[in-house]
Amino acid sequence: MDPTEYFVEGVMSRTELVAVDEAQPMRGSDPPQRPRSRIDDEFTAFYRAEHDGQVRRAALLVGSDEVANDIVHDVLVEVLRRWDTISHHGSYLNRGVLNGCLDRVRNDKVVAVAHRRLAAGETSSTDDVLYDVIARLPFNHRAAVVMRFYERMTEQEIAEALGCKPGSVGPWIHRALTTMRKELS
Amino acid sequence: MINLDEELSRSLERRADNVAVRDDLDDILAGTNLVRFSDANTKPRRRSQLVLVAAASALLAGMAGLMWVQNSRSEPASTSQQPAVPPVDGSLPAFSPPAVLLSGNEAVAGDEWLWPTVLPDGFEFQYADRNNNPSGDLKSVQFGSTGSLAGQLSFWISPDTPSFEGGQSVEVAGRNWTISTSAGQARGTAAIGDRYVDVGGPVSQSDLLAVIDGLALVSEDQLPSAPLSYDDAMTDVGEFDVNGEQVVMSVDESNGWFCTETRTDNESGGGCVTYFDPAETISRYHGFSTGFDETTSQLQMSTRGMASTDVARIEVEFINGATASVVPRNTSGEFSDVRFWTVGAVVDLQPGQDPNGVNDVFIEIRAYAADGTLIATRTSDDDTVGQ
Repeated sequence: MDPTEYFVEGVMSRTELVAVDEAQPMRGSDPPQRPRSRIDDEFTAFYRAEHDGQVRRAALLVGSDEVANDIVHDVLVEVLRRWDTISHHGSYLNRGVLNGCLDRVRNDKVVAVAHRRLAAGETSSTDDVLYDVIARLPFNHRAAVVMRFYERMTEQEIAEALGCKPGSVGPWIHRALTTMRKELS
Repeated sequence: MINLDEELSRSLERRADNVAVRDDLDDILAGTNLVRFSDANTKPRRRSQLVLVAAASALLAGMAGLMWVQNSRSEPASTSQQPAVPPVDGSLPAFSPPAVLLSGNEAVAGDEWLWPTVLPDGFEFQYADRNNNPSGDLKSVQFGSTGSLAGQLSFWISPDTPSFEGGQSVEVAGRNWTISTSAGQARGTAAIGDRYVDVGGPVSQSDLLAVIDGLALVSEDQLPSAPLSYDDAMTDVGEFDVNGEQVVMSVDESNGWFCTETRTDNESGGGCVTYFDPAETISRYHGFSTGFDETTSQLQMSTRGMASTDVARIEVEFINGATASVVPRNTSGEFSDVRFWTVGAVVDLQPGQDPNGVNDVFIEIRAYAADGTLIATRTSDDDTVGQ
């Protein structure tokens, strides 16, 4: 059995429900559809532009695809509800998803196991080791690393996304890389 | 020697490419989960146990909230778009130790915890917990509704800088706080000496300001119950055979909240906090996938939980047809009205099923009495840990 790099406990999932809904359309008449509104159209365009990227980023931060989908889903529900009162939808979504990831990580400790296996002399891929080390970084360091090395954002862009001072990002990434190099050496 | 920067980018891209992205657009447009974030805010407030401190705090918070709102009007940031709300109708929590207000402190001592003397209604003390970090303890006190991990109002003391420094700078009780709001949540952070305090949860911004204004520091022995911990303080409650492997389960308990952990010779998993009322018969559960074998397309699943003393056997129906059962036990001599169990299975991955997207570990957990009677079930749709 190949080891996973880490796992997150207490994962809630709607996968099965969604699968059932898609595979077995409702019998009888469909429920009445409300007419599409301007907000629906605007939100749909926003969703198409933002959704997948936010889910992928969240998955890298919390270590679970399903949790990432749920976090983004919940924030988008709130974005839609406040569509006409939020002036910066992207910023709102961004901050909400990051806060959701942080809350999730705090409530469910991400448990890294690969390093223990490595310590026991078992082999693991470079990806396994990197994920394991990333999972044990402080959340702000982890987020900065994901944005820098996956999304290839500048430090200024990362600062704007995280809502922190631009001067904070560089030291976070530096400390994260230092930690990672130490762990990987 | 790997080039870390390049390897990081490639590795993260590979992982991101494999993320199972769900299309939720129709659900969202249909309003699914529309009220989740606002549950704690919509509870009716009660005015009880009001004291002068609370009244003064509410007044100060109202003034601070007004300042905040005025500042917000000139700021284009998303935090300025939150609707103004009335000042908190604060009430003291049930436990009120001889607290030292935070406002008079320039540092946080190692054994001190953050404690609210003013709370919006709907929140009660749940538990305190401590995470051991290399840079120092990360300590939190959690308030919420009984037994629920949803909608917690959290009070953290951390050795590390807060994740997000953005938001409005507001002076509360003589200290600069960074206040941010998003998605029905409000959060405030501040530096105190070499520590950072962080308060956040599903409250309005003005309620948060009132809470911050009433923050105090208490010593560990003043907490209503001892903090949960995830380390050597845990008590072994039994050994279980999971897929031919001996697994030791250990537990820490405080105020009805449990932290559970399972470990084998090679790995350990745990740290989730859950509430268990013996009247529930079966606890909320911890379920997770612990490994995937690409050569056999098999996933290893594991789950664990608690049960009341009238449960003689737990049967778990995992996904894709695998089942396993276990006898709940408690070998510790503590937690007299609770039994513990953990069980695992190897399941065959179905065609088209993404191993990274499988998080519903099981379909149903069934509890049987000694005479074989089915006395309780929980399904994967029930309230789970972490929601």
